[in-house]
Amino acid sequence: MSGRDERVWVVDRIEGEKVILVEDETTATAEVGRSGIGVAVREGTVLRVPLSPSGTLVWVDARADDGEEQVRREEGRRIQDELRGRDPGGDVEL
Amino acid sequence: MRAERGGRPGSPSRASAGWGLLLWILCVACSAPAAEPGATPGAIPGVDRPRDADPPAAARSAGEHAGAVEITFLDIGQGDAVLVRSPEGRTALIDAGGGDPVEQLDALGVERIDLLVATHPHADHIGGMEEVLAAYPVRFYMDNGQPHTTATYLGLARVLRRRTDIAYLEAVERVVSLGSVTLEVLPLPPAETVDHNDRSVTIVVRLGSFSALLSGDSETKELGHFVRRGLVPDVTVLKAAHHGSRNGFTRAFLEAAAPEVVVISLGSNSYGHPHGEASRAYASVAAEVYRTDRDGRVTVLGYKDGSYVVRTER
Repeated sequence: MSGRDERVWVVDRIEGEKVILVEDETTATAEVGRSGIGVAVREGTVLRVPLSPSGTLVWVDARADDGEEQVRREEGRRIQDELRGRDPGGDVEL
Repeated sequence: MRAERGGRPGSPSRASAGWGLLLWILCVACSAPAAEPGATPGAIPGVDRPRDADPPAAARSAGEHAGAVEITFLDIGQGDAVLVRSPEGRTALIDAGGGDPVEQLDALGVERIDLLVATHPHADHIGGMEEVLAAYPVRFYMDNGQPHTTATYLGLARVLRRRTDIAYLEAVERVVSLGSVTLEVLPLPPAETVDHNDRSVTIVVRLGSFSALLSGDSETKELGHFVRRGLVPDVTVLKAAHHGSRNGFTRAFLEAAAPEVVVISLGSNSYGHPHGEASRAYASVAAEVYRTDRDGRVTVLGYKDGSYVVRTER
């Protein structure tokens, strides 16, 4: 999903000025200041973040991948629809 | 470490505890050492067990667990994981975020989970869900029906799609019964109007006159939605929404809930949780405020007469 010179990080949530992101391959999380990311973000934004020659993430040069975000939203919706088919409905006694 | 048995002074629930409560206190006091200097007023030292000595499921029908709903706020760092166990041994886990919930659930003697709830799909609430699903038999899974785009959410969703042995419950207005304990799911705000936090699955746990309100990371929009619809019950215990953030409470919500005990689930963080304003608001309405980052794991035993015991790990 990501080339060798970039990583995919997705905005999990925003806490004030802190953006909390989840890395695609490891599900590791990172916190980055909102002003340190080169594009406007919201929950669910998929970012492609380039790596510097030394291998560090260059957040300021990140770009949003709207197409990939849409693909993921559609997959999530499909799975949620499938799961709803397993709902017995009404109140439940366990 | 401390153990307290509380109740609303002068309330019917307190009065109905009557001689049973007095006998219980006398029995415990007879077997306990003298109170330590500085102990919390009303605390009964000596009845706590070390962390790893929680009784196995079979023993929960005896002693202070008899007839009680047990609500355990796990200490998992910055996140939520709340275990609810009924007197009949039915188990619900509400969220599984943060560190390693399985290690703690194992230590608590959990062998199966009847209902697993994801209040909303943020990593600090679902980050440990896949591990939980791999570790225990799970009968039902509930969420708010709202997808996310992270690998954390999609990985969990793909597992749930494959696990056709697990029934699904959408978080619509409904009641799930764990034996004598009921979990009332409050209706969510419309999906198109709010973000993930403000569609947190919100559950009222009830056993007789005892109740607890658990509302994930609800913020002011969702809390206002509950207040306007008259859905906020007067409760014994409130889990502070959104880890004690500034936007996790409103005065109207707290006045309606009127909790005796507030528990804030959080760890070390750079977001300012708990916010000072929220901490002061909780302290102004509740007799006791607990924090998992300071007190460790917090366990509340609730009884049908509305009385309760709070035990903390530290």
